[in-house]
Amino acid sequence: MMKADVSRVSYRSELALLATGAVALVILALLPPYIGLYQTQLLTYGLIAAIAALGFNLLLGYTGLLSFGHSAFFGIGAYTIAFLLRDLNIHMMEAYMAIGLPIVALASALFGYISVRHTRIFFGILTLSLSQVLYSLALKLFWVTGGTDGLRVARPSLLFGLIEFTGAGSFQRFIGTYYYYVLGVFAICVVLMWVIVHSPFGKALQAIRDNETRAAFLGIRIRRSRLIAFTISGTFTGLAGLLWAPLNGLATPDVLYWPFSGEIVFTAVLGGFRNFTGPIVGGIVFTYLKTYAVATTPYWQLLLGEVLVVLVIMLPTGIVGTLAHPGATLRSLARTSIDLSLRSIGVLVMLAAFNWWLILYGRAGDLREVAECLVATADRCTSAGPPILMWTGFAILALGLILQMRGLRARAGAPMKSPAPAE
Amino acid sequence: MAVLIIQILNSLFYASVLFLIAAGLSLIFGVMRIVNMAHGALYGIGAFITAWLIGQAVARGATPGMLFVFVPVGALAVALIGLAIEPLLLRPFYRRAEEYQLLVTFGLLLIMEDAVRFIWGGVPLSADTLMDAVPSLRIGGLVYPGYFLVVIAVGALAAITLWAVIYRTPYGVMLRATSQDRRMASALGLNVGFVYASAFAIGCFMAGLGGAIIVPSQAAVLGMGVNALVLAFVVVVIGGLGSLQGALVGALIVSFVRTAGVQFFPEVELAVLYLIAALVLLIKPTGLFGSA
Amino acid sequence: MILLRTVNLRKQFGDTIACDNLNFVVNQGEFLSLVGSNGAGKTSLVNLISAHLTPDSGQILFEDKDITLATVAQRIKAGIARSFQIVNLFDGLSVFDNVSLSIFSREGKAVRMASLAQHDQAVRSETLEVLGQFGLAAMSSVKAGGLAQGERKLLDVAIAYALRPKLLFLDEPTSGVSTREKAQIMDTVSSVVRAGQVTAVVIEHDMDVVFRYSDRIVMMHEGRFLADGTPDEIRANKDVASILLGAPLSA
Repeated sequence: MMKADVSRVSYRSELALLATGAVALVILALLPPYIGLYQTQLLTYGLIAAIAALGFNLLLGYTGLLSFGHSAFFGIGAYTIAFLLRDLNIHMMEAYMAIGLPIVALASALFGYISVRHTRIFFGILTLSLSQVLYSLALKLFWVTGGTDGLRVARPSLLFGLIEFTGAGSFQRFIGTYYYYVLGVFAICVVLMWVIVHSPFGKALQAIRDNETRAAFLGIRIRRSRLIAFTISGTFTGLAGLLWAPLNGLATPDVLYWPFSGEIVFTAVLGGFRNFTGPIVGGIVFTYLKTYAVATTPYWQLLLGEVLVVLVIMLPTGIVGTLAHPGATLRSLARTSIDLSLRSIGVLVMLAAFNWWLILYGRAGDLREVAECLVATADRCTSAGPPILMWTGFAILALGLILQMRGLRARAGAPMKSPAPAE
Repeated sequence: MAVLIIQILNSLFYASVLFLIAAGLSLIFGVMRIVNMAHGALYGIGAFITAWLIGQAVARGATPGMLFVFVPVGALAVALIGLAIEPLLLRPFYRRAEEYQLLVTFGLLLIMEDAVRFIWGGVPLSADTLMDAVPSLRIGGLVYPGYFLVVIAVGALAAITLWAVIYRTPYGVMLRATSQDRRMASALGLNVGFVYASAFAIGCFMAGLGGAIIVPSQAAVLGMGVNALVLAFVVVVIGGLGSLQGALVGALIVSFVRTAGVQFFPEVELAVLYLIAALVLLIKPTGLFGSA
Repeated sequence: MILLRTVNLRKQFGDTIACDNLNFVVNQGEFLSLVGSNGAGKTSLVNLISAHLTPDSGQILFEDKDITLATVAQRIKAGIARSFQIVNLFDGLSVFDNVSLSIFSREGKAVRMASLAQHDQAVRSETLEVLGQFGLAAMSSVKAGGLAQGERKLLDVAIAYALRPKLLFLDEPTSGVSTREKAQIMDTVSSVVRAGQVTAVVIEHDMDVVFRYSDRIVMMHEGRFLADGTPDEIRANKDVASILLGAPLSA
């Protein structure tokens, strides 16, 4: 077999990426003094969310499997630390990781084995059920897990016991130091995941995602590859849980509850799940969004669901995807008919009005109260913003509907030559 | 002996409700190839709407007999919600990758669960008045609520009606044709949009009916939707997705196992059912009556 | 030398007998066309040999080894590969990755996750070679989903070819493309296949293509073999002519 004379592919592109990554890392490392303690803590949570999302996206973006149960692995990671602390009196972060990672990996492999058997149809509900089952166990076996109160997680020592956090000022020192610890783990995770995704195995996963039958006809072992991907994915998310517990100080069933899985899903969709950096961006941005939203309304799950649906409809490629290929988004926008655009914008504006009301006054309601406050100002809701926005949105929607009616009637009355409206 | 009969009746009661939810899920999947992640939430909404209506009616002095009408009304309300959702939020995604459908229905799940909390607060809503309206029976020496028998009857009626509609009516033929081959059906002039919307509405009706019918015996609480989804899932795993018989048989099996299980290990009941589903998936992935 | 042989291979779907006790022989090195009307059983036969279907009865022997019960992966390892009638690519991956994946899989490297795919020198050079042979080198970084139909067909064949099979099944490699493109595709495919000394079995409907490129033509009808011979022999066969065209062929 003649080998063609091909130039070696240089490592130039990888080195360029490495350089960019290093710059980003340096910037992140230099931030804490400028942004203060609270923001540093928030950013640490953001990096942890990014790790969870990165792991999750190996399954979604690269293998084409949408799991609604990743909170299970996050929670297993968190509770492992709590148990190790309470029952074995272990205080070392590295020990937590040394024991916790294999546990999480084992759990992922186990659930992966069940889940990848009947592939896509049941995969969503299977994984959702998983996190629900673990959540119900955590609640009901409260004598083991502390029930809704959760289990306390004290500040561990870092770097094999070198750095401890006791005494005065230890909280501030912990936040400051832990940020760098998490940043280091984050950097390692990003590099690891990048290599995996660009390896032959990563290509095989994408092939399975795109065309399972053909991949099988290349001799690729479908189930085994999916299982390996699932295990790696769950382990990354579990690692995030391990990192999260000491920061949160408490391991609670909330991180096993299915809406938390939804949050993980959301971060990947928000950032864009068809590219590598999307989940990272999504994780960090989401952490900030959530902190703001939770502070302003107790119905932030409603907000989350709304935004998810809107994202999927309007910006399916997420933040990074849209920014990377603005042309594609603009083109598809240009292709949309005017009446459809108007109707969509109208609905979005009305939705925004409702969300605004929710954030300003969000209490349980009385649907009557909602209607009242969105239509005009009243004693209990004096801000004119929501009603104005609501009526604007309604006007736009109405315009869109009128145009649509006129369009339909025009086509119905037209001679036979014009094609029927496509479905 | 009487205790055994009561246990059997309890299982049948629970199976009726499970059947309604699972059959709805299976129907929607069978016709539209969509796994509706929000299906359980619709069950919860049916329960809350019916309980609320009954509460309002009782407050206005309605007689217990009249309350029965709110069960189908609750189910109908859920069907209407489904009728609104399908063309707006599901239809744009039929031609796109499967992930998007799942994401949208999952988003709906998040919205619906929180909407229930928003509208009715975190307090459970009960509708005992309706259950008390039905006279109790004596079985052996024990008292048994007659309402449970009503539910069993409704479940059986639903099964028969659904079967008749799908296999004996022209509409059912349309349903089956569209589920087999959507493009072919459309090429033959069938109004696929109508079939999809109506099938989805029927599926939602079933879920809503399940909630409406159980709420007089079991207060509507937050989170009942997701638990119902997990149970419905176990049912269709065992019975086979897309099969009516499968939903019926699966519901019976799950219900009997649960009744037995509740006696012995109540805390881990959900876990046990999940394990059974996992086992079935390992041994016979298509379930008893499903096709690959 | 006989490369593949089936012994009384039979497959039935309900009342339809797709393959009726077929004794199919493929000789090493030949370029064979499998023809017949729709429903004659051609695709079923290929599906049986490539493990897409399991036979009701009968045997399949490849290089004198019984592969009747072998899995897809085992058959690929033995040296059987196929392309698909409805083009079956990995749309999200680049043309380059589509082909290199076959090679990774063939070499057992598809589970390697600690190395970067594009830096495997051996795989890379072989991929470029195959792409060059199929005229796709210019498109190597384009995503497969963005190719024109003719290029997609070629890529489909290239992916199967990159497995370096001994026996390659091509299911209607020219369907859905213009007449001019058909010739281009078949020119490329037949020259690459012959240069690589791969035995090819092509399912085709276009008789011009069949007559121009085949060493041997096998015609199926209702699950049975109707005729088997060189293009000249088939041309002279009156049964074939009447079934296919309703009139004898002109030379």
